[in-house]
Amino acid sequence: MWRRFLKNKMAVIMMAFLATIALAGVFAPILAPNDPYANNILNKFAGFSLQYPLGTDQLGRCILSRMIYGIRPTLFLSLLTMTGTIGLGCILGLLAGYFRGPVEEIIMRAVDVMMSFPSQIMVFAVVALLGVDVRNVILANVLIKWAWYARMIRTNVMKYRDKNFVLFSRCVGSGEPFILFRHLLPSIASEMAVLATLDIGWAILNISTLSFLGLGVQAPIPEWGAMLNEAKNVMTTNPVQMIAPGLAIVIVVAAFNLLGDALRDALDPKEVEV
Amino acid sequence: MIKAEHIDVSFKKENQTTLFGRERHQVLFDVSFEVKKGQCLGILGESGSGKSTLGRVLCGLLKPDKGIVRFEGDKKAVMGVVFQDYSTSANPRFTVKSLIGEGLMVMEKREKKALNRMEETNRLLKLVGLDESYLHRLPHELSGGQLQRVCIARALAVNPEVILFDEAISSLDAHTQVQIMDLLKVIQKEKGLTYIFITHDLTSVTYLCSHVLFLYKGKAVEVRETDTISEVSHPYAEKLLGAILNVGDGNETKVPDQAVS
Amino acid sequence: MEPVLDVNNLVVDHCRKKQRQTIIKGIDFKVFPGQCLGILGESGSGKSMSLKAVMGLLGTDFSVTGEAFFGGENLIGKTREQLRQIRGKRVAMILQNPMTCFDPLYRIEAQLSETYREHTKLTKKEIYEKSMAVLTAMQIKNPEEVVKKYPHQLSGGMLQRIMIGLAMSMEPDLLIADEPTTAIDAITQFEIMKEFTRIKKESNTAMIFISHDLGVISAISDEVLVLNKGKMADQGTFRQIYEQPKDPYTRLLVEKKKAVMDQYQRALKRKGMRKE
Repeated sequence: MWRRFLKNKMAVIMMAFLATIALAGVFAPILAPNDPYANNILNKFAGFSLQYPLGTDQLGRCILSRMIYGIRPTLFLSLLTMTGTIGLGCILGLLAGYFRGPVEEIIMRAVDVMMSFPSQIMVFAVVALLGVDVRNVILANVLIKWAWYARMIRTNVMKYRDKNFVLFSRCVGSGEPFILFRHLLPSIASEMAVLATLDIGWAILNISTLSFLGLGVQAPIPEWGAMLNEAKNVMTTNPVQMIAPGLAIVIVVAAFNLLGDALRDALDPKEVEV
Repeated sequence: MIKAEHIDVSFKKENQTTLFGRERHQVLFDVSFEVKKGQCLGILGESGSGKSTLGRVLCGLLKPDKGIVRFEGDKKAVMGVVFQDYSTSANPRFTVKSLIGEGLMVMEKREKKALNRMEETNRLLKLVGLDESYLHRLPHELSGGQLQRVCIARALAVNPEVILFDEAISSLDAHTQVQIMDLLKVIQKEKGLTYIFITHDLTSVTYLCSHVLFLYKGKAVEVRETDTISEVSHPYAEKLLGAILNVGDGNETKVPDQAVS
Repeated sequence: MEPVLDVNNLVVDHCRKKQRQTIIKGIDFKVFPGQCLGILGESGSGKSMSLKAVMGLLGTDFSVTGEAFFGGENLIGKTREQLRQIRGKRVAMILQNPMTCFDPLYRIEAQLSETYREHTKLTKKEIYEKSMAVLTAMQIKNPEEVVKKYPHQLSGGMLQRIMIGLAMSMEPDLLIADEPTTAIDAITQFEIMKEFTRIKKESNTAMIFISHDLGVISAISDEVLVLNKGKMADQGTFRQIYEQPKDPYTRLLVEKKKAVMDQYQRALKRKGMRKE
């Protein structure tokens, strides 16, 4: 399976690209040319220079350093969110899809309830209720989004549940854990991979949006969405301040989507490279 | 060995005429038959006759509305299954080794003894006419006949008393079908197994089975030994016998419009 | 007598991602008017593909070479438009699994009239009458009701008969039937084979009948061509193939079929003298 993945050039490139970005975030203190928090009002809106490769923002802070440090909240928080959402959605979807009957009914009604709320508004509501804190943002996302994934996973599980190899296992009595973990879970893995990567994209956008609105990561912590918020006032005078984080968000989200495509192909055992 | 008594199966209809209607579409009507140990019962019917549903009831995968499936000694017999669509009969991610391994795992669990997996797997492969070179292949790397043989090996791995074949050879080429049937005959004799063979092909039934049950529109219209097949009385069975296209004997321009030449 | 279709050295290659694979490795056959050529082979032998190649129904990643003379012209090398005009009118094809050959969204009468409008100049009323005649000739009762139905409301057997009726009503020079009874139950298969045999007797159309089933081939073919992995394994009358197969592959097919049919005959002859 990994061999196939490695043969798909797009997958490898995207993976490498995203890994580089992630590593940059981890090694931010070493890579960033300046302290992202150091303000120097006198030096605001500086142009490109060796010390400030992308110039400075309205408080004289180095934009590039803030971008690099900004990887941390943007990327890692999204990963955390995605793990929680997909994890919860997956477990509940698997249970609902395989066991049917009352288990399915209960879970799916919960899904219906959660899906009837408009997700973005709900996230705001939860954050407003629990207080403006990044942890609450993640919690809100997981609470709202799991339902959507649970439903998709349940559909996929139902598709595989009646395939002959699962019927064989049920007929001879291979045991539920075997069926769930060795048959169903790997079968839905490729669909899940696509969902997971799409979800990271969504989570990044969500966290950035909330930060942009002032509800997520608070100033002065560098985060791409928050940077966009600060940049909106000076859009015409110092466009770099807005373009940098904006472009970064677009590129990273796109990279995740392309990775998702490639992952789905790689996880399909019938995909043969001629 | 297995006795089916008055099996009724129905499914809830998709298109209900009333809002919370409970209309059901009945698929099997009062089906009863018995299979003794060592016999091979052919269940003969067309698509829509309910034969696959009957197969599922026998496996225990589907509970009938009415009726019961009884086993000798009142203990559920160990049953292996081989399905028709071999492309979905095997988890596409499992190698041949894992596929047979699943069957072995079930047997180990049931008989509470550990086995030398490698040895057993090789023995089973040999039994179905394959060899060790197939161990690490994935399902899509095998031909239909080969994959079906692996499925048979997998069914044998659970050490069953009964094997249910649900149109297991229908998707294979004509000569492969015969080869597999020959294999099944040998295995049955060697291991004293009981077979239930669901199919739509009458000549397969006469080739392999000792008994035949004609299933027509969900009803068991005729049950008899295959030796006495010329004595069928139900019109459906008669029609089926008349429809067999005979081969050879100057058939080039003759229209086969009667029962048997 | 001139053959209706004369194929020489047909070679079909499949090119994908710079890899070239020869699927049909040079086959020849002829079909004469009023005669039926049976093409016997299993899945993967190339039996369907060779006829699709001649009719120009393969995709662009296939390359077809050789000669296929139909009415004096070589079909291989003709443009898609030229082939399209020949298909349906002079060459009719009946395919496997009749349920998938009809558009599920349109009623039968719409689909019948589609063919007639394309290849004939009949008026709407004439088309309707022709459809009625065709269905009646195929022993379909209540044709007025049948034409108003959708394909999913009819059985496979009936749909196949409609296909055959439609094909024959165009009075083609050549009728190609590609595994027409494979997806159909035994009793209906028998009825459909009777139709084919009747058509063969009554018209002078040449027929090519493709199947993997020796029984079906024997019921209708005059000449038989056995294909194995894209090559010709055997050729001759059915009798010759059945009784003196030359190629080991053909021998295998015949042997196995004989074993099954002999056992069947034996079962028929016994009268339950053996007690269980």
